[in-house]
Amino acid sequence: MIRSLNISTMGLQVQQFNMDAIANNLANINTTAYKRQAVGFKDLLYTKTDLFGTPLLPGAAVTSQSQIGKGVAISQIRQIFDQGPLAETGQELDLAIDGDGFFQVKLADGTFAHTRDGTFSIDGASGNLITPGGNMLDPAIILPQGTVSFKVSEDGKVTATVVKTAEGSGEPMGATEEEVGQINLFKFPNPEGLLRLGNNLYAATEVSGAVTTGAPGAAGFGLAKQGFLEGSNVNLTDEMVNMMLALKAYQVNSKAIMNSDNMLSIANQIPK
Amino acid sequence: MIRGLYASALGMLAQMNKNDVIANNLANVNTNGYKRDAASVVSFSLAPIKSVEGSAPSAQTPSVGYLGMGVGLGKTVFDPTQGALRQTGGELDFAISGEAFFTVQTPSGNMYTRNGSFSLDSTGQLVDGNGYLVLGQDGPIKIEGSEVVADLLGNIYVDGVKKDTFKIVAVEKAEGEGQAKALKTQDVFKKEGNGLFSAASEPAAATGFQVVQGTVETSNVDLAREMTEMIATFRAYEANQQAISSHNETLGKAVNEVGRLR
Repeated sequence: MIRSLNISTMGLQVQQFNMDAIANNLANINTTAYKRQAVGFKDLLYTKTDLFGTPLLPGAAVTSQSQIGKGVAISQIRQIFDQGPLAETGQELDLAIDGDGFFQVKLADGTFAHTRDGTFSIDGASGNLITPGGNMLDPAIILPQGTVSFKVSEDGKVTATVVKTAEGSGEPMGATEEEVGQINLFKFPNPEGLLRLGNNLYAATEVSGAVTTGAPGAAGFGLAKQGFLEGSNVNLTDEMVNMMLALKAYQVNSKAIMNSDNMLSIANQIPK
Repeated sequence: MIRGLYASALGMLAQMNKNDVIANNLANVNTNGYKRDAASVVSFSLAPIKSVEGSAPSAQTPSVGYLGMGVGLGKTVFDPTQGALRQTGGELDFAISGEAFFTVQTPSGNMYTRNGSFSLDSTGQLVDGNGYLVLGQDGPIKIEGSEVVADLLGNIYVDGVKKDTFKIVAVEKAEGEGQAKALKTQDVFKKEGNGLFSAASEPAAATGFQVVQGTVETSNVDLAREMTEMIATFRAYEANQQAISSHNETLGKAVNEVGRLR
């Protein structure tokens, strides 16, 4: 009886957890390049019982094939790296990845993080392309002084249109196109193992595996799309259905607790 | 009298254990690939009751009849019925339609699972939710590439090239006439927790199944059914308690009233 109370409590806990993950997905439904998380459950070990129904001591002979489960637990919280929808923004500083891969940025502490959020801006002082969090794209793309516009081709080549001014007079000397650099993409054998740092950033871990790099459009890598941003891959309908299922599972576990409690109270009425 | 008390107490115990099994089913109502357990309550073998008239009963005394000595939790069997397939769109989510299992490699030998919500490990090998390697015909399945496609037969293609075929197993169906016993899935596979099943003997390659990519198999727990079972268990428990109460009253009468002298 106490066992069933424990089992149902675990049921409540995992559904609570599930609900937390769903709530976080829903909160990030408009977050650029957000990747949804899904909670997976697993059943726990089974206790073998004898014919009377009491659990056997370890090593005791199994006289029957009756076994009672010990409840439920979270097996994994999966990050699902499905492509989010690409939305056209028309901003030349917006970059989306159509396909697999991440941009690499350098954090303040010198380590690297990865992101699919291509909302870049230009650091006025150095001309570096930076993320909304102020982290530099790596390898760095530095736009030269006098850049009026720049283009990123689908394979990641960055060309800037630069207007040079004459020394002294400050007169514009006409526009030239300059090749500035190459934006590369980074890939992991197991992106689900990436560590979420918040701010749309992910860090490599032992589980995610060794990073490989390649130009956009190379085998296995996505294309760079200038003027687009990747939306969140949260699907409202799916999340709503998940929420409903979580709620129902929660309710049913609370019913089971009530039932076990009632049974216990009946047992307590025996000595009269 | 005391016998009756014990029988009722055993009845309560059995219903309590049955309630645990139901609670476990309900807790796993959202667990992918979970198979519900059905607990049966069985009565103990009948005991012969001997006449106690006259001399003390001996082996030769004829029995006047048989009496049940109570109940216990019988065999718990899982129900291998197919759970509903739910579309996830995940490239590495697979469901089996049919009574068969995926094979995974665990430290305690090969185990089998219906939860095909797989992912990759750091070396690009396909693993299940516990991190165990998913086996193909040629051992662990290594995915190197970007596009994974599985056909209905369980062949895995990575970027259009066939990599491997899932090792999908099932109970070998008994063939021919006169086969003494047709083994059932529940007889061969046993639940080990973590969504895994172990097999009593090496299961055979499955036939007549379909692998559906982008879907997972949901739990086959049927809420309405479990709730009804829960109510039935509750009432049976209550009835056994009632029986104990009546026994108590009769015992009380026997002790306090029958032997009263005025």
